[in-house]
Amino acid sequence: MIDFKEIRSERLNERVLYTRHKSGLDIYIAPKAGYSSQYAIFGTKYGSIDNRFIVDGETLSVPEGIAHYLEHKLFESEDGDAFSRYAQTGASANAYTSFDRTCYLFSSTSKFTESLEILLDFVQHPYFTAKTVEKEQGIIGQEINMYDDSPGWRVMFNLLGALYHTHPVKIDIAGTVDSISHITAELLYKCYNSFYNLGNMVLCVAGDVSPEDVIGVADRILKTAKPQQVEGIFEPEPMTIVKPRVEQQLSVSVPLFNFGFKDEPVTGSESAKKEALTDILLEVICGDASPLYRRLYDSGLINADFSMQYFNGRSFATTMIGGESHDPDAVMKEFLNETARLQKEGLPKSDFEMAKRAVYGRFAASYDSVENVANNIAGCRFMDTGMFDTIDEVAKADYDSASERLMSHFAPDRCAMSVISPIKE
Amino acid sequence: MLPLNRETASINALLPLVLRHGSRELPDMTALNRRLKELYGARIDGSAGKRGEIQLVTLYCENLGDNYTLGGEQVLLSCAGLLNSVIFDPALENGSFKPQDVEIEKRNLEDQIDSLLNEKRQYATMRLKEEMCPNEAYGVCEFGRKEDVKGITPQKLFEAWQSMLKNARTEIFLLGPGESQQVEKLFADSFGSLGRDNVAEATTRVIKEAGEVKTIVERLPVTQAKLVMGLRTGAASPDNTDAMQLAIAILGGTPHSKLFANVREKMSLCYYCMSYFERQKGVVFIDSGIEEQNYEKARAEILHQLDELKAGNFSDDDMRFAKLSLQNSFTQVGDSLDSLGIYYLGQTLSGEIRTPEQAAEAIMSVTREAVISAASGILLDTVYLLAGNKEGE
Repeated sequence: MIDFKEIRSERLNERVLYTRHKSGLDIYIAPKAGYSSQYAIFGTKYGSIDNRFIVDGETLSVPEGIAHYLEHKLFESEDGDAFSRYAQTGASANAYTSFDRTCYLFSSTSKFTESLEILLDFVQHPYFTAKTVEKEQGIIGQEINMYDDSPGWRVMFNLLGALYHTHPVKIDIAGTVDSISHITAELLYKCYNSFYNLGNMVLCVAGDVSPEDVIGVADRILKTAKPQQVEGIFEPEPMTIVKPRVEQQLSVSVPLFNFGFKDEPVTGSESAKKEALTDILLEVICGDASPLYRRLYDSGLINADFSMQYFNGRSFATTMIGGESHDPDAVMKEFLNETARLQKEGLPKSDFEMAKRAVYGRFAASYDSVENVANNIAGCRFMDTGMFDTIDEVAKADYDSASERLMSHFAPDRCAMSVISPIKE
Repeated sequence: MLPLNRETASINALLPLVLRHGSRELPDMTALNRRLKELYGARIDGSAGKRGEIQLVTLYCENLGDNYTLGGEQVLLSCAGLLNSVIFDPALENGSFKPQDVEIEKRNLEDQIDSLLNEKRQYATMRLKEEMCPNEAYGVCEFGRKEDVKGITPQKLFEAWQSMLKNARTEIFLLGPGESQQVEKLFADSFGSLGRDNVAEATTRVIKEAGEVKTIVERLPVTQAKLVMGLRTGAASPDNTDAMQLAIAILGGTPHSKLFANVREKMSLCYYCMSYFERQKGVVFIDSGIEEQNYEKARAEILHQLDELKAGNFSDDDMRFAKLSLQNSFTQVGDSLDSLGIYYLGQTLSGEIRTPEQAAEAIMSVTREAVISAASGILLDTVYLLAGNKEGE
């Protein structure tokens, strides 16, 4: 009998089972009735920001982009790649590296335990040689070139560069063609052994699954290893910005912009609360039912491609507003004027209530997707928040806390603007 | 579902954008959006797209299921009512759309057309379609052309709206939990009162032959070159296209496919190299992002892999794996409302409605001979290369 702890949301009628497996791995299972598929993620708390760390008394600085490189290479083993193994089960497999985590995943509709075995097995079996590492240079080089041409990607990284002095969140996740040329098999093993320890990892499964099946595979495949202590090194990051504006020319017709407010990063329930309040405030300030949105839209300063988000992770947080505009600076000016006005006059109470419902609805809808559920659990685990914390914070958000957040967060001296403009002849 | 053509593409694409501004009851975009926010952040939006030579004008509402609301409100029926009123009873002024709404959305549509340049992978595919099909409706962009947007007046748009409601083939999808009867009645009543006795069926002209291969090179200031190939096949809806779909999956539809295994993994030429089948038009696209200096090598290898497929040089495992992968995709359709919508839209367009399970069964029973026979009908038509500017130019 496995001892599961049940995490419930009565409001959403959702439940998640949690157990710490004897191997040291945290396992979360969200069985969902009425679904035909299973979605599994095996992830490690290791992303592009973790490129300086202390392990076994040794201080290491590794090339930019190595976490992502490692993700690519882990799919290979001595006798073929994991994709060929998955091909036998029909599961659709993939992986991603973000700023603060690396996740390997698949989605299946049959032969679930076989696919889960493959997932847990290949991630635990690194195989890097000089030759296989060399082979990946061309592939990832093209991935980097692809992102260099993507204005939507560049506009965000340029903003992070304008906001962060030292924090590695400003570094491209895949690194550069030059930085990845310094990656060796030995360095990959070093990173692997430091971060791919079961105590630093999580397994999340959602959908049409039986918890016993998951644990059965875990019992068979997971190898207990001695816990590994690894400590990230982050230079102190001041709350000031680097520069208020950055512009790059790319092959685009309509300029793109992204401006953001740098925030103090937190983890745990504090982070869930910040996210909930910020999302509600963004809806009030510039959601598509707001007076500001209407003014910007009617005057042609923005078009339908306009969005805002609270971008946060382990050790960084920024509110970002982005879209297309023929005059991005005017959009930011209008936004700052509007926040100043609301700070002075106070949030309209009815707008706050309306925004709260809208944000609640958006979060609740995300639980429909097994993919979202599993990814959300992994994200929460690495941020030390509970998987229903944010939606609970939205549901119980109060007007005074939102007003306080409005006063403290939207400060013009913490705001920077990034613009991608057409190439001038 | 309207016939796609150069003359009407822009005005049709503009319709959902303007309709989205409001209804007679809520004639103001902000008032409508406020009402939607109160309904737990429901969203009404619209867009234009294309499948084969059919222009799709879509208006939709996304809302929270009634069982998730904080106070037990009936969101679905309210949202269906709002969507219905936006489509059938829009905000008008002097018997036509409001000039200001039309002007704003004309500008937005122009931006949308301009922005096609921004993401180069999509841009390259769009340009390939234009170059491959200059004299076919398929070459027309679903947003139309900027110069055609300029001349649209509120009155012309109003006429296009009336014509669409009366004459366009229409499909209504209700996806997700909730009681469908009242929603069905709502839309049935609205359409029923229009006298739709002249509904035009939009069709797609399928061309099976490819002439001499065209090669187009376009230069823009980019880092990575995009290679896109357009091919004609002998198979298109409403004929059986299962064998072709499987053939294209074996060629470049999965991480086990020939293109992934050779162009990416073996030769390290790219990050992505994939093949897609557009069964409405009976065309195949293969796209990849490469170094320009590797263009000849990549092109040759892609065509070599296509020849291998035609010659039957693929293992039983290759075929079985592609089948399992497609079966997995079909079986997952029901777990996401977006996938369900896209899937059944495709079914209604092809004329024969199969459940995802039936579609999966059909794929599983395709034979090796059928794959080879389907592949043998694939002919290269056009190669499009988007490359960086040369030094000194």
